[in-house]
Amino acid sequence: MRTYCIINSSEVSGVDFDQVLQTSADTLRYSVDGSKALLKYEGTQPFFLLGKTEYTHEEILTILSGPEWTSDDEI
Amino acid sequence: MSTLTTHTTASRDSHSIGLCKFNTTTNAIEVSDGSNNWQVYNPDTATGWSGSNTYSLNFDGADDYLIGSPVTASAQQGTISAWIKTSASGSSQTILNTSDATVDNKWLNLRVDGSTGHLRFVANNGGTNSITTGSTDINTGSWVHVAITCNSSAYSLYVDGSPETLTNSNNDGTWFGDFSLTNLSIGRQIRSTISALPFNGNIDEVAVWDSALSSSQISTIYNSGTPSDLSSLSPKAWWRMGDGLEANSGTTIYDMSLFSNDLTIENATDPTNTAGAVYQSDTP
Repeated sequence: MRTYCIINSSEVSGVDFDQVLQTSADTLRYSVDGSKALLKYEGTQPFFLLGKTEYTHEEILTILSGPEWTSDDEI
Repeated sequence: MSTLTTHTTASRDSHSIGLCKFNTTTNAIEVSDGSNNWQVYNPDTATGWSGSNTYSLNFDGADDYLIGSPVTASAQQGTISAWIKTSASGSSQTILNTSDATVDNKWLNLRVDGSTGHLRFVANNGGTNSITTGSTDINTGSWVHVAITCNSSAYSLYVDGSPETLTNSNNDGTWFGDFSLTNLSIGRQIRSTISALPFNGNIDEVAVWDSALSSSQISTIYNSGTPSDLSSLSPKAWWRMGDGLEANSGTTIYDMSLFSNDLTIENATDPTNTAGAVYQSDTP
């Protein structure tokens, strides 16, 4: 099952991209203000993400549709 | 798509580093590597159609997308065709985007509009957005064929092979060749400072032309709801989303036209994982 996590952008340098589904720091989705980044993985939560809140697909879509992640400038 | 085979029947003289020749019998271009190993490229055998359409690509609506180099970058007119099936409503969803990622206001975006659920094309050529919106709800959860043509001065939108009644705002005919492009993406809008409008659902059989196809040709592509071989219409790019050379595996979506504008799947590095499948046997 695919699971999603949100991390602080300052933590991106510590991400092991072999353990998540994202390709690299350059392809991550960041919040509108750039302070947070989205990660996702299959199965067990990677060690470096322990303690982070896990979200289902439905839950993360609700979060991503909010103003923190979706800007009016996106037209 | 190029068809490559290797043979060793030809030879070169002792002064040649390599050879390139045109075979008038087979219409193939044959290129040697300088050691009697020949690569044969035969455009007459290039076809992206394998006789069926089995797979589409699923986008999670969070951050999955495809990216590659721009196509038909100098064209002042053209056509985009795609099959889509949305899984969510309420947010605008990028079908195809192409942009100059060195600045933030040079881009073209074909999308499902979040507010209306209609097909929308938005172009920004360094100023005010040009917005063209169709009239049919395509955010239905069912497969829909969508297309846009641009004749260099105006756009036409099509849904399931029929022309849409348009609502326009600053419809200026901006197209790929009106500014320098650096990328093309499917399933997410990629700009210099913004990466958003992710697609949530499935996309299949995306193709691009450097000419404005006629309404009759769009109707032919729709084919009463069944995708078919586009080779005879000579697309400049044609991504089959699992049914191309990628054969339902890997992170490259091959361009099955003759122009090799391959795309890379980003943020789904395990695309064949059954739990979070990107390739899905869900097709129009």
